[in-house]
Amino acid sequence: MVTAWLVAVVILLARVMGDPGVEVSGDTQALLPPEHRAVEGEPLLLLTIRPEAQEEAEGGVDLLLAAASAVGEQLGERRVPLGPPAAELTGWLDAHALYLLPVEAHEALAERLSRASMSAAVDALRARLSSPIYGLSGEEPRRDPLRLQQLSRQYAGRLTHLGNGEDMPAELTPTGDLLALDGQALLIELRSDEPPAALLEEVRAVLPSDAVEAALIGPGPRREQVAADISARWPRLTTLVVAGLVVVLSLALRAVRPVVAILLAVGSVVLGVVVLSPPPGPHDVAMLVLLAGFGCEGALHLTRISPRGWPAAAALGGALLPLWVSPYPAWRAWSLGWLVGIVAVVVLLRGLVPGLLSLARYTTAPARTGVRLQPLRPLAVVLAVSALAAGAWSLPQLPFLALDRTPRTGADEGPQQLVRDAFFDPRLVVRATSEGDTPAAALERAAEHARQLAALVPDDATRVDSPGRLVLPAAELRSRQRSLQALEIDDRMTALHELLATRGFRPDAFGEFLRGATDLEDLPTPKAALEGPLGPWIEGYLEDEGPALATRVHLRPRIDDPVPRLVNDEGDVIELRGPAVAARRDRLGFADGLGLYVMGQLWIGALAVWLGTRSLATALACACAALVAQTALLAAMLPLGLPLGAAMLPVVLLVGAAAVVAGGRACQSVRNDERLHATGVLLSGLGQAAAGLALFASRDPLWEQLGLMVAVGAVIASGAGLFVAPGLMRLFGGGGRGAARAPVRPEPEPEPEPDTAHLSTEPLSPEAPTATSEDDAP
Amino acid sequence: MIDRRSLLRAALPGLASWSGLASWPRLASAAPASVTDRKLANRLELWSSYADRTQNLMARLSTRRETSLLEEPLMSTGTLVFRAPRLLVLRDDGLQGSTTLVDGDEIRVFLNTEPHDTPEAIEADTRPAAQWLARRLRLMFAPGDGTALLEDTRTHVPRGRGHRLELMPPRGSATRRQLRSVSLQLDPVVGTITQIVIAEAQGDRVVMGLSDHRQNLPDEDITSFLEPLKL
Repeated sequence: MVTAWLVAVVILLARVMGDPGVEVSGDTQALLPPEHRAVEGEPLLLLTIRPEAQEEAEGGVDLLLAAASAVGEQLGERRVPLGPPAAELTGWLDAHALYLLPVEAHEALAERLSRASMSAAVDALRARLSSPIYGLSGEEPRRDPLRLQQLSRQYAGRLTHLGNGEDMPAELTPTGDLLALDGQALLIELRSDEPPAALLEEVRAVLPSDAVEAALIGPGPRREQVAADISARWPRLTTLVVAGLVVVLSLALRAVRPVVAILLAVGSVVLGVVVLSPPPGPHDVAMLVLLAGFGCEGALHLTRISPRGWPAAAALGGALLPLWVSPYPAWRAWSLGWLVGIVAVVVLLRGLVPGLLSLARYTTAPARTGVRLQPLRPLAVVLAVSALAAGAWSLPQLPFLALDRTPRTGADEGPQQLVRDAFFDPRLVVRATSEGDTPAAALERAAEHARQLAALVPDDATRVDSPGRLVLPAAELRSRQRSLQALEIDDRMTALHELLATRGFRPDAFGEFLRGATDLEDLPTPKAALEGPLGPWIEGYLEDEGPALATRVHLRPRIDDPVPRLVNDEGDVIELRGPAVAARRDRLGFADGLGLYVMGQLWIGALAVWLGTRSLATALACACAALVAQTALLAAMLPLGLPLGAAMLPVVLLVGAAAVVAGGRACQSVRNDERLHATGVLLSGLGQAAAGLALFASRDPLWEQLGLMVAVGAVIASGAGLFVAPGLMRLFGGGGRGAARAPVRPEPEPEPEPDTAHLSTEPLSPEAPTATSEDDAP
Repeated sequence: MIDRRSLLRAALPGLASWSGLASWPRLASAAPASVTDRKLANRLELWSSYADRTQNLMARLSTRRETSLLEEPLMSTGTLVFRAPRLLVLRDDGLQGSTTLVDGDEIRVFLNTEPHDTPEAIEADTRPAAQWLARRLRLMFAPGDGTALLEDTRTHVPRGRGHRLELMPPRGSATRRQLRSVSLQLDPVVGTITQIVIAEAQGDRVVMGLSDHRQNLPDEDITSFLEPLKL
């Protein structure tokens, strides 16, 4: 076995040391269902002015516009407009202002176009003109002297393409980028599958001034950044894990050779998982560290639960199996990967380590005296009830880590925060897809969808960003045309023309409005939009697969709200997809899912214990102890400020499994009337805690949270196993009574016994009787 | 054009002597300033000699807007009321006019026939150019040494007759794309602001004439003016 292991390790090391070595994924969307993941090839380019490089009397707008122009020239078609080009959009809106009002608004429109109302509106305009602020207030009297945009807001929602939102302090540039109103930032959308670093380098090379700074935002750049962070933190994390395990193993075993042997066995399994599995992301790295920490459990000769020692391995290895039914792809993969990893660790520890120790001529040290547990039923009940109550009380109060969020350092957050403050939150943008046989048909379909999606504004969404908002389906167009013709717009515009002249205005100054309102034959059809000056912008919304057009809905940041459900005229649901949708769904069903996974883990753990001990009371007590540990962990997370979310699910389940194992060991010790050796507690509980502390000290925000949870959870699990499980077992009628109770035997204190309780020194063989099982014999 | 740092360098000796700090050797021995800087310092000294005493102010206001929207310039009259430190109200006479309210960072324009919180009011709080102008207008009447007034501003002292001071938004700023300048005309004796000229980038020009300045009126006079506005 040693030879086979050596060959495997050499192959693995050759793979790691060779080219391309170990790849790191950096994928922070691994928990999101694939259909809800953000597109990685559409990063946002943020241009900002370095404050220190800017003169006091200089603003940044000219610099930013010059930089955007240079970037546009360099990137060509890889730069796509975020919003419609300002001049073309203005022209389109002016030409079709009245058509963009729904028929329901036409009654109000008729009232506004009555002579009395128009007279009042023109007088009000004249009155407002006397204000020195008026010209800078954003009002556009030339385009909308009657303030008809108020009707649009009231009846059609805002024309919520990017750049005209009242909730966004930014405006569209002539080329369709977004410029912050304070003139300090500019946002450009890119389409490129190139590595973000190379793209950014290319952009920086063409920036015309050192005062302009560039940053890429989006899942693609994030992935690259996280991968670089993992690569940078890998050596530190590895050192911390190894150091932690060395300390724990040394404390427990007090010998160098078994410590080295165990580390080699565990390390080779981790190495194998790294090489043989897909490139690890941030969640995977944390799981690898936990595999090393929890894997040390396998170094114990697990005779405290059963003579063969498999129940503890089964309880631990099967801990994540409930996640197989979860909606999180990464955890589904790890539900089996963890089982395989634990099996591999246990096999190596029980098969390889004895061989290595034999080669090293190591003989087992005599056992040290353990403690005899005295189960206290009242204490167990009080602890269990307290933990359950505290956990139930804490659960609704715990901060929630949304599925689409991964904690990040403050330095990484800067540009993202600026984009959120000055423009919009890209994390809240979700998509609805409209399909058609041709681009025009897809756009017409998008117009229908956009009209229905507009109902989400303002309660559920801040913006519905779709070219479909600017065109109308044929049926709706005909309906609005008939309704507008009935309003006799021509006559009303003639009256307005006269009215303006009467009040001292120059009617020509309002020519865009008057012409656009009068010309009812110029229809905002999808075909006209695609073939007109807005065409290039609209093509940016067309998706690669078939003629389909995306509508971007900017949801409100309300994680607790359900996903809006919209049904179109044909009765089909308009499906929204995106990280924010997945996060809302996850939030809504998280408590149910958590309960399901925990119950599954408890059942698997209890089954393993029952099969190993054939004692229902022991199995029940272990399951209860696990639940106590998990609820106590939830209660401890509240004062520690730790959030709960999908990213933390494996930790909760592993803490439960650790409690099952610790409880099973303690219960068997009571049932068999044996001493419980501290070695076992040290090796399992502290090994897990050491892995957690290594993660906590890794300086990665996600790993810190997970690590603290594991460290606290491991201690709690050991406590629950030792102090709750035996007491509950007695309460359930098991241990020390009836057939399950081992005969009382004299105290073996004067004579040291071989320490087979803490370390396997025998090759793995089903038939091989263990020393402890022999000891257990009456 | 003078940047703010050189302006303050030039203005410090004048301000120091005016405020009785001339005996402070570091201020008194400041480097000699250019003619332009001295002119700016003089304007600020003149302005602050009146503004620094202002707790409240009421003045008659005549507004003239020259715009391509109208055949003839729009003329209106009204009242300007300032109450330190943050409230400025410009209210046209009669029900046909409008009121401009600047209360700290809140900027609203509403018709005289409507309450100030009407949904029909124009809210310009988020518009940088409107914010910049409203802040300058408010600070013109507020006590101070000019530092706040000149913050985020370029200055120019026009040649010719009269004590004028021109404030401009920074070059290349978002405000500059909508607003060219704001000019003050100061009374050469008292230091009151007698005229404000606002030049918008699109070509409109607003000339506000101020007369009959009444400084530090009893509170009830100001309150009675503000009462219809329900502020």
